[in-house]
Amino acid sequence: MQPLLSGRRARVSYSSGNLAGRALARCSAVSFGCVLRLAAFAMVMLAAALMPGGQAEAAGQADFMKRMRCLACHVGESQHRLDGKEHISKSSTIDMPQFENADHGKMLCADCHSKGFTNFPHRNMKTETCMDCHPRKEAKDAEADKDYEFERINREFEATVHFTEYQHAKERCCGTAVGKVAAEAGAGAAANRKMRETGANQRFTCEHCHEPHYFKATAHIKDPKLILKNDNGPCLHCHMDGSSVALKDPAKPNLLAAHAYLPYADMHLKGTRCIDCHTSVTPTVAHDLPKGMKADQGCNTCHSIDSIVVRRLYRYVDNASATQAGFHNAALMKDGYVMGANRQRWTDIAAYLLLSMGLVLVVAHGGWRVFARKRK
Amino acid sequence: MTPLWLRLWHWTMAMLFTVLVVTGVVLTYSTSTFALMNYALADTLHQVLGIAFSVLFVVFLLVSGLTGYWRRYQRLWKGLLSRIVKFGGYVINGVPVKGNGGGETPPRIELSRGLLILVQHFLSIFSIAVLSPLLAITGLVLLFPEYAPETIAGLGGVWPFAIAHYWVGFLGALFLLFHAYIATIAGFRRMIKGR
Repeated sequence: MQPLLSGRRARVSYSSGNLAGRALARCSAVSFGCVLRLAAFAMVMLAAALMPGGQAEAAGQADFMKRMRCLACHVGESQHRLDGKEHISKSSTIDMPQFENADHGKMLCADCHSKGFTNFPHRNMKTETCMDCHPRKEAKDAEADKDYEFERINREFEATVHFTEYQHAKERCCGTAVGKVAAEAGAGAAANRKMRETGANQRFTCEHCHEPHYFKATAHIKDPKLILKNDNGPCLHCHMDGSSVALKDPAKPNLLAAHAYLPYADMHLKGTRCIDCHTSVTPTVAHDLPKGMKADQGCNTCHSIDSIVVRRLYRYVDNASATQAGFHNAALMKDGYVMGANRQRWTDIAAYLLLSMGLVLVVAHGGWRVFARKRK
Repeated sequence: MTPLWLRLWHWTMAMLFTVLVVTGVVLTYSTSTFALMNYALADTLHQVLGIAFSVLFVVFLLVSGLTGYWRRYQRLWKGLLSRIVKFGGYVINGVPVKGNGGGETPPRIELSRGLLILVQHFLSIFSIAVLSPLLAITGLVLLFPEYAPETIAGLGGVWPFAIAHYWVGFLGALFLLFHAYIATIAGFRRMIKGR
């Protein structure tokens, strides 16, 4: 996997970091165990200092030490989990196996948590936001970021209800805070107001959908089923029926009822991504969220031989639009049958031929009848 | 005399099937930027009219059975094979010519009408006995895809039913073409006035 901030600092993979992280993974956050971990950290530092090695290895070990300084307290299973998303919301601990498998997995904590985190307790903290680094400037990284058009993404995002509804609110430290569970605020009008205020106290940021510790771009996931699960998770976090998070949808959605206008609403909800309909169809990833019926892209956008599903959800499947055993867009058929998109070539050709022959027969016979009548 | 209920049923089915063919074409052959009509409307029409078509087909079977009208099709069926053999022989061996060892030459008009009536009867029986029930059954599976097998031959389980529905629908469209054309020769009057 390519480190996203490789331009800022060269990273070297360090298996010892993995081992130490996993060994400490069962520990919880700041507690007595933290003291033990600090002791372990000191021992590891000492051992690393005594170990012989080259310059690169030394640099790797230095990075490992820097990371261990944070992980001594912050390693452990993420406390917030969601169906359809391995990890989404911020907690004080990092699930190292998941983090290392993510796109930012080779970065140092301090790359983003840039100020106020060196000492404990942390004070006057500052965490970089996504747009502080993206689009990246270094040649290779800039090329990788080019397709995403981050400026356009930002413009589109700032026009959405996600931004406009919460733009007056402060951005929380780290940008990822999800706040208290709204249900804790109790019931009644005052409580509802409080819930709204709780939600409105957090500005909606990139991190609410793209959790930076565990985010993996679809280009790196590739498998449509995993992409589906990964991409719908953040939407459902707030918009699923009965969601109780701080930024829950105030409209109290009933997903099936809201999508009742779709034939087979449940199959559409399970088999497609929310963003496939709720963002504009563009060659790259769109971040606009047209409201109401504008969110409907039109059925034939997907139910056609040039189905957009092939260019979006199945974008990273090799030859997704290829024809196999006569079926167009055969890759889609492995997960289901999409009417209009999975036409059968030989059936089509046979049908064209038969219909043409039928029409020729009728026209020829009709012409002969007219001709014979005129001869009389 | 063709009974009134049958004439009403026939024209209703004709209209339903015409719309089903058009909406079926929209559902199958639209592109991402062009559809002959609103795709969602086509889908709704196809489902609603498909159900109506299937229900009316069952009504036809019931009424034919109860009134004894089915015997007419029994008579057609009995004579059908011998007529196919007879006209098949004309096609293969040619029409017998008088005085050339071939016996009586059938009048030209009888030949022509006989062939057309044979085709019309064959199409009627084929549409009632084969096409309509298959359309209804495959359509029913597509209407409730959640009950179809998860996968068939490693692919989404709906595809054999979708292909079968397509083919039966396509043959039905061909039937409609020939049936309507032959009616311009044999005359629509019988199906309007009853005789």
